[in-house]
Amino acid sequence: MALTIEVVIIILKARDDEDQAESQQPAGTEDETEDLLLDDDGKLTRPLKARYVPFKERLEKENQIYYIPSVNGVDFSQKTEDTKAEPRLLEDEGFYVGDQPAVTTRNIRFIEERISKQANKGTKWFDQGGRLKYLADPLKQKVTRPVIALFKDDEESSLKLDYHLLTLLQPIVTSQDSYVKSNAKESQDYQLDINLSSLTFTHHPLMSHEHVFHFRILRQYYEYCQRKKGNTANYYTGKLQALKEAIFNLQHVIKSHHSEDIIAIQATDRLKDYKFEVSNVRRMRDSEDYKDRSLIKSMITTWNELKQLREKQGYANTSTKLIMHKKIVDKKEDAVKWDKEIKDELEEAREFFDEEYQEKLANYKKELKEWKRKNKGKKRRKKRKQRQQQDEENPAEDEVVGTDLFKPVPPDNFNEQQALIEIKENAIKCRRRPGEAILFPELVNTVPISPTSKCPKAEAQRRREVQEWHAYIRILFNDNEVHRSATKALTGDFNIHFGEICKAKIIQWPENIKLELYEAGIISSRLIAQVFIPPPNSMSHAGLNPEPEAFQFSSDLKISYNHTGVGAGVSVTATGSEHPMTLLMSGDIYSNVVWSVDENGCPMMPAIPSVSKEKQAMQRVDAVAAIGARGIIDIQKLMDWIVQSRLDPNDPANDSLLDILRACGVSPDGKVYLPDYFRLNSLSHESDLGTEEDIDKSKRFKILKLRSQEASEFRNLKQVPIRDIDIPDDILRDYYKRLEEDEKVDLTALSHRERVNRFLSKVREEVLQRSRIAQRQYQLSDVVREDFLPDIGTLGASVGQLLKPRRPLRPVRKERKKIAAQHLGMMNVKILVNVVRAFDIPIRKNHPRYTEDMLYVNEIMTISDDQTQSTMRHDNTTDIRGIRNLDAEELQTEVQVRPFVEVMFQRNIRRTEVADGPNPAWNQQIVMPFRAPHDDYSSNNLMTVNDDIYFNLFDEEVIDMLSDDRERGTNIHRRKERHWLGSIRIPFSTLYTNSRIEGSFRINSPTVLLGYSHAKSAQVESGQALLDVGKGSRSQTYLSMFVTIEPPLAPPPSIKEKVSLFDSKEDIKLLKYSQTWLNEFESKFSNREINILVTDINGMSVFVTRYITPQNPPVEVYQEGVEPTLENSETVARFVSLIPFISDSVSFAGLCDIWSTSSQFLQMLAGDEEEHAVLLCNYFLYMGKKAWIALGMGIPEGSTAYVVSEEANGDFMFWNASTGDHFRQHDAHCPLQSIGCLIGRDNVYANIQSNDIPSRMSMDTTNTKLWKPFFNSSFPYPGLSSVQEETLVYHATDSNYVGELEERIELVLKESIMSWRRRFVTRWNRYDYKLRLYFELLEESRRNASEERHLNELSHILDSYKLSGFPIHMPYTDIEPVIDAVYSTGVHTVESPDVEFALATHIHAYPNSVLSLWIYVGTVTKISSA
Amino acid sequence: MAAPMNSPVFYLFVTGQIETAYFPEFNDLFAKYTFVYGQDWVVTAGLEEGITQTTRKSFDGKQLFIWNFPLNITFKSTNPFGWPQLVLSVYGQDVFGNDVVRGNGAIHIPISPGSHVREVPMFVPESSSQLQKLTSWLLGRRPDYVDPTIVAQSEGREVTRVRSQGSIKVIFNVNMMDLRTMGYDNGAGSSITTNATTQANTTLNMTATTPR
Repeated sequence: MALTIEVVIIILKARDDEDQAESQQPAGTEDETEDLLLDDDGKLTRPLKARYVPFKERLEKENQIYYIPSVNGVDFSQKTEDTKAEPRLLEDEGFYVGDQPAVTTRNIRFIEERISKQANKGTKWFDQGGRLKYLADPLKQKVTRPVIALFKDDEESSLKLDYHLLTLLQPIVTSQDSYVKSNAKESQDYQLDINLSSLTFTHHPLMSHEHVFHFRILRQYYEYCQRKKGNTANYYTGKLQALKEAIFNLQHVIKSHHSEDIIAIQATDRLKDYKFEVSNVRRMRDSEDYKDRSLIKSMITTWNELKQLREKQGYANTSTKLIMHKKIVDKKEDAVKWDKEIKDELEEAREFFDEEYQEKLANYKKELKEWKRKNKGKKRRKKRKQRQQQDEENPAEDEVVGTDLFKPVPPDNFNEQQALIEIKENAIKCRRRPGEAILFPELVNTVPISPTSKCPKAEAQRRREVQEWHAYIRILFNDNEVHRSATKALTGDFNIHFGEICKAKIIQWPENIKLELYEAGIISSRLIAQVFIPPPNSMSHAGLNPEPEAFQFSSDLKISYNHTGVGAGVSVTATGSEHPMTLLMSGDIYSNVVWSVDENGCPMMPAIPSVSKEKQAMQRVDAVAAIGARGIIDIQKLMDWIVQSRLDPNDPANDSLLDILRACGVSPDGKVYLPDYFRLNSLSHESDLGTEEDIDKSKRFKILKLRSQEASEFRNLKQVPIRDIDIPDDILRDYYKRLEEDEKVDLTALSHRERVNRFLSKVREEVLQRSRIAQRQYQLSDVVREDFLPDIGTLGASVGQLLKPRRPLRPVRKERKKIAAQHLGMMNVKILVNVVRAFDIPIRKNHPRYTEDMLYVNEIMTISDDQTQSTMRHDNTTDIRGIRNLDAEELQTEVQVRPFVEVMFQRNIRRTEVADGPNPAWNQQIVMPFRAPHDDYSSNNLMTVNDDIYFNLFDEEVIDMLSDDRERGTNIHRRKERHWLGSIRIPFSTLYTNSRIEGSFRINSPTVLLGYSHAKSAQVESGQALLDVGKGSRSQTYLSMFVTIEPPLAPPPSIKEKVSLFDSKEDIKLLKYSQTWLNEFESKFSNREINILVTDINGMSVFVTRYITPQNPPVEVYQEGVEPTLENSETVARFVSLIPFISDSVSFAGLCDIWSTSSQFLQMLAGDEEEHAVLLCNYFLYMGKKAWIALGMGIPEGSTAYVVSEEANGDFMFWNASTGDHFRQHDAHCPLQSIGCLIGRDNVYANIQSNDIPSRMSMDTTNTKLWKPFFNSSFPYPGLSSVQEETLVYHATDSNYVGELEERIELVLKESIMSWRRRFVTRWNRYDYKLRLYFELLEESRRNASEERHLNELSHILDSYKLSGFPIHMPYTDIEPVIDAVYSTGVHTVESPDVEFALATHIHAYPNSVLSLWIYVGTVTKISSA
Repeated sequence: MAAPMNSPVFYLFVTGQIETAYFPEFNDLFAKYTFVYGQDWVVTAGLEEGITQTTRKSFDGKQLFIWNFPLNITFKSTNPFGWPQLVLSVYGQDVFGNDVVRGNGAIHIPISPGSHVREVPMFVPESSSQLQKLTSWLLGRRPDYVDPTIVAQSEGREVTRVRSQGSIKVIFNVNMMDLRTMGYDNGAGSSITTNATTQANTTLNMTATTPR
């Protein structure tokens, strides 16, 4: 194509030139200016005008240049230079040329013509055939887009899907690699034919007794037939005969030859062998004979039994009949044979004996010789000895006497008689006696089976059941079910024919093939037996048509029936025989497993791997395991074999076996035994980081180990250094030192406080260990927060909420959302205190100074009244008078107090405004800042905050300071003084665990408040008022308030439920019962406090009543035998209350409540409500009172324990054991708000009354409708032993120590006060000693109420001084809280210049270092004589 | 006891992104993350906790949530035990506008330096019963972990039943300092070459012995 175009273009070009030449002609004539131009290349050019060439001329010229090829084609000769050359056609010579692109011949000729005109005739362009060279067509003849064949008829079929069997192309290779390796080339299927042919029961529970005999006789007959076929007895008889002949021949040979001849010697040897053989064969024949005989015998007995049974039961189940054919024999002939046989045997025996005899005789002679020789020597020695004994008595020679030799016994001669008897006996036992007929048994099925209608009921039922009995077989291939046969019924002769072939396509190597026989039931099937079938070897495939083999099975199922079926696995006595027999269900399954054959007749089986991978892997690790992998039954035998076969130790193939040898030990008696251990994981060594010693040596590892064990020193250790050298040695040293000390140190040598601390930390450690286990046991609620399912009750309540009348004037507090500690971050945590009001604040008493003042004021007032002259003046005076009048009024009414509340927490102080009167209402909110130690707001840390919140009630007194009355008109100069009236102390832990505290709290006012009295008791004589020491609660001050934390902190997770997870020594039955009892109670009264299983100091849960038992109070407090009065009780309670209070939540942060026993409590001298209550309750019981512990809610402590005692008058008293206060049951101000349960000495009573407020409850525990007892008639009290010690031992407190302590406290306090008021001079009054005396009185007064005479001492001081102060009383624990308590009273804030301070301390020591600390602080101002 | 000043530590620098999330059933999600690490680890720089913006599902076929929320934190430690984990919890709003947990998941920070892309499977605890499931759906208070960091520990997990919800793709760029000098080989950097040389040595030995 391109060639044509080219030619055409040439032609066209020629034409164009002509046209241009013509058109340019006129233009050329116009422009003839000649210019030489310099072109870009620097050549001179001259532009010329176009010249016109005439057409003809031009044609001529063109004809000279142009050549127009013809289309006639060129000859071959023109195409080559070699003129002689013949065209050579490659095609004809058989070369592949390929298709050439289609080009028109015209074009080809055209170009051939053109090329051939070239200089060298264009030979390069032509091939040998003279044709143009051009390439074959590069395009492939292929359809690029598939043709969619849409045939009308075939349309649907083309859209249809083809289904193929799923084939697993690449079997998944598991680690075990038990899969059959599929060869990539031959993607074969492997298939097993599992042939289930039939099943025959040899025993079946539904068989009748008759069947049992039937099958027995069948079996025996079968055996008989088998024996007969083999005919072993005859074989042996023949052999015996042949041997005898051989012997006879040999004997002949020996006789004929000389005895020295080689032949004779050989023959003698052979004769010996033959003789031995003969006796062997005879023995064998005898046993065979015996077997035959006994078989026939037993067949006959069985048949007899069967016959008897049939007769007895009157019907037949089986058709078997035994017929005995007799073959009569000639008796004489028999007898001859018999005798000959016996003779032969006797002869043999003799020969045998003779040989032995010769040997023995030779032996004997030898021994005799020896003996004689020795005996002689002995005799000689004896003689010599006798001689020696005469000369010198030397007993040593005695021992030289040789071993005792017995004289050898010559062998017995042959006892013919004896041998004959033995032989005869044997013959009788084994062989047919002469003349006895030969028996041939035959079994026939001729007995008609009785029809069911003629059978008794039981038999009919059995037959029915037989018909109903069905079974099927499951086939399990490598423990996967591959086939389940059809359920088939049992035939009358206890056969089941399955006739199924299961074709199993497999991808796994057949490890085991199991058949499971099931009895098909209506609801469920019962597994009867399992049969393992060996996997087929490579030789067995279906093409060989192998016979099914019998696989025996038996089952130990125990089945028994009411009908005639014998059952299985149970002992039965057949009707015919007397012997009971136990038959197990058994039978044979006829089955086989072979490889399938495909269409071509090739077995479909994989190449068998030489050694399984699993084994190879095992071998590398442990030889014993590798061998054990393929069940070695008797390792001992294997060992013997290894020893015997003397394996080549250098052969690597024996490696694993020799390993066993190495692993085994050799016992002293030369036996090889296997080690009595086995390795669980032989690879565990390899994952060890280092040797034990390395780890032990490393300090770092040690610390890490201890940290994970949560040892207290290391529990919170962070960033354990990575190198050992960076770890200071002393860390571990301290730890070990502590461990040593814990064990060794004599506890008595330490001061008490240290002892307590050590004890506490020890207990804490112990409990932590145990609780850690419990805490690890998570429940869903610990991990996942999920809403509780609303039940009818809560739904009803929420609906009721909607219907409730709205009371906007009665706001209800909403529950705030708790914030978990981790979300808290650096948030500001505050304590909100809402001080609402107070009741019954003591009022100031009339004071001499005030009376004077009053008179004076009155005077002034009159003066000022007189002087009213100008309005200005008047106004002024009324102003003064206003104040005065106010003061006067206050003074006159005498019920005067200006109280305010000051809250102190972590030394931060906030206060309310001053209110008026003894029953003020503040309604004021106070915000206290709170800082957790180390800024850690996690619950664990917050639990340990040991700070207390103090609420102090003060009376603010305004004192006029104007000394010059003339200034009164113009100046106001007053001083405020505050007088401490009492305080409430709430531990932070209480607030934290309860999240809010609300209610009216009794203010702990000092026993004596000088200058104040309660409004009611104001009329009472002053002396008595002074000594009104917390006896009655009538004149108590109450402060109502509301305290909470803002934002609300999530309370610590309670592990109350987990307590039951702790170990317990209690009886399981008791634990279970208590669980149900508790659940029952808690489902009804979920918010009542109850606890019956408490955790003791070891972290074990203990039943609570074990704590309660009478215990003796110290003698100083209570004398035994004294009538228990209320005062006695108070004294005891006071003693208990003096034991310091430490909340368990503080000492065991994050743990549960721990109940320690009383002796532990007294030893620790610290405990919370329970310990106090337990101790007090036990004291009361000792005193003969009736007492219980009440668990309930109290203010401010939340859940608490009180002691309930029944007084003589039948009244009930509630005792707060940690404060020593007591309340009557109907006391409205009782801080015990609810009671959940009462714990007595031998029972626990749960409160199931509708009300749980003590004052509205009945305390009659015998009423089971109100109090639900734990132990009742259905679960009586098992008599639990007490965990308490029987008698408490008290030791006296060291008086020296107390004295020192007293002084020290006083000193510290004095220093503290001075440091608190730096700006002023602090002077100390010298009347201290008098105060101290007074204290002793106060402590006494606890016991003995009215001792007025001592008061006179004080009144002496009161005469000359204005004494303002109060005694503070507290149990002594540590100096810190004492300082805090003094600080909180604010005594130091008095700024009067002429004030003197008075401070005195007194410690009253009770036994066991229970210290009652009294501090008197006060200010003393001299009453000015003016 | 804090480690003495001269005690050597190794550092782990992690930058990265909480990139995308795939939660096919939900929309409008945001994620919280926090790092959980052992006792011997200290955060020296960077934010330990954070919360992402709320994002909507993309409209293309991928339906991904894109946060591209950067992570940047540096740890120092003396012990590889307690290697830091990133704990993620995803929240979204349900039909009633309650914030509902959509997934929790945790993943260890890769232990080798380099850039790593990690897919964190996310799951939520299941209600303990069908009825609870219904009520929790109605009330919009699905069961949630009391402490989301529990997914980073193995203790106590056995009591929960969880359901898979989706996944989050996180990119970590990890850098380390001094881990090798402490004697820990995490197969990174120059350690490979040393391995290679030792291997070469052994092969040399082998060839030396085999001819005999």
